Amino acid sequence: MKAITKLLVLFTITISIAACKDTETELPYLGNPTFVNGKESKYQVPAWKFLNQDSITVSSADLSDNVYVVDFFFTSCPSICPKVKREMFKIYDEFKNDNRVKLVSFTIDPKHDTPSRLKKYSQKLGVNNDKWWFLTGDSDETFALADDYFITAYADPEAPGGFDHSGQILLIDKSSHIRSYSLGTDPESTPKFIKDIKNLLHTEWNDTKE
Amino acid sequence: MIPKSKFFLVLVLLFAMISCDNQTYKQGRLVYERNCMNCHMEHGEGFQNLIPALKDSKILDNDQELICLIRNGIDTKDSEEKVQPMPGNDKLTPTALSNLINYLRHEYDIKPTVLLPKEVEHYLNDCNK
Repeated sequence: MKAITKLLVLFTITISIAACKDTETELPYLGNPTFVNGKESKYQVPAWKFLNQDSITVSSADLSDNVYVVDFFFTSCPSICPKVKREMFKIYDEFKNDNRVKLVSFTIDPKHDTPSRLKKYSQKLGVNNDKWWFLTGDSDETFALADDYFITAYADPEAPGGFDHSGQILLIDKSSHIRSYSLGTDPESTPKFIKDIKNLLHTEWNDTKE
Repeated sequence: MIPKSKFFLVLVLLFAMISCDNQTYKQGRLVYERNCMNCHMEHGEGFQNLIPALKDSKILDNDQELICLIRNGIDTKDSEEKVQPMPGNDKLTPTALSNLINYLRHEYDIKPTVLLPKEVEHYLNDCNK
């Protein structure tokens, strides 16, 4: 008898946990917070300044009224990039008409990926240059920034295309906090990520839920 | 002793299992999945204007060009027009290439002639890197 009761309790708890997952909870703040004078401050990605595909200098400050989605790639990447780009493109497509969302792709091969080459890439992709930035800058700075976004990226002559990097896609809020990520190489993780973006839009703009 | 009818039943079941697997050019599909699918996508649909769709590709019925293209890829680092490169595949054996090409041609209904590994080998000799 007792065993059955215990089982029932366990079952109920499991169900309620599973049910909780479906309701919209606030997205977590990823990364370790720092503590100054006992006051917690959440992890923020440091400010950056890069050249976009129109050869215009843009910075993270330009995105303070947006939430944005980030990945690192290079145009001549023969391995995982096309897969990740396809997922990025799905996200682009989903929020095409929502100006609050932007996409940012940093090249880790700035030597070859000049603004004009990035422009050609975005044209072939068929996307709006204002909505989706392709950014190029100093190589070391880009590797360091990738690190700040918790992405692995480094030059490796042994790797296909000369660079090794991971294919995560990250979601950044208005105040440079990392709020969600997805595996760009796994199409199944994209729908959840898109849901997270919608969730973040609700909280950032205090929208009422649809 | 197993009754004859039971034995027969097992045989029929086994047969059914084998014939259910109606994927022809299975080896070629495997080569495709391992070497091409990341970019050309699951059904060869390509991606925007960056990666060409295979079914519209004219090169599929040109033995020599196709074999050299798969072997050497396309380098775009210094290209003005093209951005996305295609990596070469120098590890694919003539048999693997033959399986792959026969699969692709079957899939996209191009020139039903079968390319033998021996022929592939001959064409490969004419691809100078």
